[in-house]
Amino acid sequence: MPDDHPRKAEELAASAVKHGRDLQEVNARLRELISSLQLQKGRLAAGMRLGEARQPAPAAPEASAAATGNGRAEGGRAQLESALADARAEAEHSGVEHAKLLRRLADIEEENRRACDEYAALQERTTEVMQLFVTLERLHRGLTRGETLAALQEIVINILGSEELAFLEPRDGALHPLHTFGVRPEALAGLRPGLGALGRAAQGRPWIASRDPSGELAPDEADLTVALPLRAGESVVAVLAVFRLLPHKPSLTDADLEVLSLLECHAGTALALRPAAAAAA
Amino acid sequence: MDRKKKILLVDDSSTVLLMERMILSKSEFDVITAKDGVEGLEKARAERPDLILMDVVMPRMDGFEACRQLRGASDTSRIPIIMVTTRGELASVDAGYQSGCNDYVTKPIDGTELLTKVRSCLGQS
Repeated sequence: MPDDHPRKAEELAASAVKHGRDLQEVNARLRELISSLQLQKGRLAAGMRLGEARQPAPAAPEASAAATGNGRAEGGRAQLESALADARAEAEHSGVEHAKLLRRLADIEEENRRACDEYAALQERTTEVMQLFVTLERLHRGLTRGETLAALQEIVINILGSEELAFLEPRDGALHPLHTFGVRPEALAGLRPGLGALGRAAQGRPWIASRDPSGELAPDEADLTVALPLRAGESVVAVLAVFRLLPHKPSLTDADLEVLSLLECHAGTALALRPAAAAAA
Repeated sequence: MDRKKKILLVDDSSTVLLMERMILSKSEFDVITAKDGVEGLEKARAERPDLILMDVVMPRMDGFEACRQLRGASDTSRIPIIMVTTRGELASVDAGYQSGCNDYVTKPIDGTELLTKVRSCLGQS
């Protein structure tokens, strides 16, 4: 069901956010642990240096003989050597642990990056689904043909990103402007089915500049970006002409093409039904 | 538990309001709307939102003027304002900043960009 898409996409996005936050917490804890281990390693290294500094220099034979009787000094030395050995072992162990934690941290950071990328992709897809929902909602809310055309204009401006558009009605062997925004209706005079991209759209063949840049255009179609038949069943009730996109929008996206596909199927029906709806109201 | 941040959306386009509402209310925000600059000022004073998304071209009062008036009133002068514009050129952006806005987004609205800027203005990024 189309209505489920925004909810499902939101649920996926929420799950990705939670996952990302969990990873960030683990990440932070690991950083603290590593920092603590580094501090401990530093202390141990300082202790080792101190222990080495306190070791007596090799004694001269005479002095050694004099010290032989000093059991306390020997015991102290043995104790220091033992402590030094322990400290070295502990420092080595800490180094190994440190390396392990750094590897784990790198893994977690990589996983975090992946989760962020997935979240961004989900957010993008959510926006696309929302665009489709908004397009349909706006398209079918209008009660009159005028309201539907106004909704279509808003969709082209605010979702596709163009402020130069026209809706043309194929009638009596020509294309007549039904509604324009940002282009002069006179500039569209002389269009007829079969002539140029708009004329071909009137015969049911859509044209999108980015997909068919070499398509044959009529003289007045130099700035044309989209020529889209708006269908009601098998017949084309109008043609949507989208000219230049907004300056900050370089080209139509895949999401825009989905919106156009939806308009091709639904906008014509909405326009065709509106006079009847207005009369019934 | 922290209360939800309240965001005022000011735009004369139902399409944009619906899009913004869907993006923001599906997240962690309460959303209220106004259809032009005059109604936007009234709602800003009455509702004291945490942030305002302001369209530029609107009937009765445009977004730049509404932004200036909000900045000039003591009770609304500190509310962050993000301008929403179809015009991304430097001149239009500069006019927005001169009127007192904190940031801007361009139409068509990108959900990720909007949420990022909203959270940034609210100190949540």
